[in-house]
Amino acid sequence: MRKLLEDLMLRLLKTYSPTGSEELAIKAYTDFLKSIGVNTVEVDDVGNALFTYGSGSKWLLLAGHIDTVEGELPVSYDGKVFRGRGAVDAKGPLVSMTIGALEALKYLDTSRYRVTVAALVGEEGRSPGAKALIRRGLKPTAIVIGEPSGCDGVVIGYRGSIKLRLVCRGTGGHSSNPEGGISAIEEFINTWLKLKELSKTLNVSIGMNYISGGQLFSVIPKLCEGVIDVRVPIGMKLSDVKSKIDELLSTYCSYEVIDETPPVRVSVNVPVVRALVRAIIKNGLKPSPAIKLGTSDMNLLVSLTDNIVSYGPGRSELAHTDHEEVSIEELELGAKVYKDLILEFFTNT
Amino acid sequence: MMLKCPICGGSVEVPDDALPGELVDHDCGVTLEVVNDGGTIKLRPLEGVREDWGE
Repeated sequence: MRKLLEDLMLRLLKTYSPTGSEELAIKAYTDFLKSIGVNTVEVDDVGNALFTYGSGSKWLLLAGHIDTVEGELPVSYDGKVFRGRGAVDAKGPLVSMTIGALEALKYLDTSRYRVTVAALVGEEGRSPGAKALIRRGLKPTAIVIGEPSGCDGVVIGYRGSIKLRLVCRGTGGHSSNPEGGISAIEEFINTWLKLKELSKTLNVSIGMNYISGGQLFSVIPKLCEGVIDVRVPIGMKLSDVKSKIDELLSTYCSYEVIDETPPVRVSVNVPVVRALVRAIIKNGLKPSPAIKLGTSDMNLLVSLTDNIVSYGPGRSELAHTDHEEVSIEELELGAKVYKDLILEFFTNT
Repeated sequence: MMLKCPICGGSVEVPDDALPGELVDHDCGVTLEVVNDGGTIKLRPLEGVREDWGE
């Protein structure tokens, strides 16, 4: 198992694949599968790679993602630790998931059970990969999302998110007389401060990703715009948050929703969560249920089934940092948990 | 097997092959953990669902 993990992990880490540029990594993934005799790999119309074994009606979908955030990092492996962009989020989980699924194949009656492993594109963006699966109307019995949770983490929920483009417009005029007009930048700042107050009263997090506005010389700014990242806790409706934002906007500001994802929370009673918990216990660890503050493809794929959970090796606090690293021991343990999860799901739930 | 919820006293159905460490959401709203108490399988409230950064 270790050699397969090392081989696939290095192929993927060496193929930098920020969101929107996943083609070469998908090819590296499919080339690896073909090299070990898996020839039933499909690359769909948005660029996801999927392979399936078995033909039974009880069907488990394992969905990892192959894209990463921007920012290429040096790739290294010293026999113990892999370093490089995506080592944690989420090539490590995808590698463990893939090898774990191939290990489970040795023990399964494929006439009764079916397993699909998907390397999805675009998760760090607008999730075109997950949305393509939804459009296809797939109906798996259960889904496991591949995201770093530590080898013992059982992720049963994610917050939701709303990405807004906030636009404020001023009147113009000579900036030697700033009271003579409305400044788009000042309107933007005022709105931003109100949003920060709202974040406290609603218990949502609100961050700014981008801002642009004004002219360099002597003009009261006519335009200021920015991208605002709102994270919505479990149990809260996106529409309620947007209504509150509507109430605080001045007549000079408006927004459009660039993207939005509702929060998700599943019960620990669903069969795939039980299968994961048992797999973690059987590998000598104590399961640690968790809610994530970010979002993942779980927020979307829950529309296919609420028999869903997220799991994967790797320390999530390193995700998106310049210090992404994961050990071969973590990948190996993660692969064993995925293998046992699959076997538990088909034989004991 | 039927066990007793340590919070509300209600019945909780747990699979016969449940392992210590397994989790159960009960109707009363609490998440419970299966424990082996000197050879007896019982339930106790889960210490908490952690919040974690990450996507």
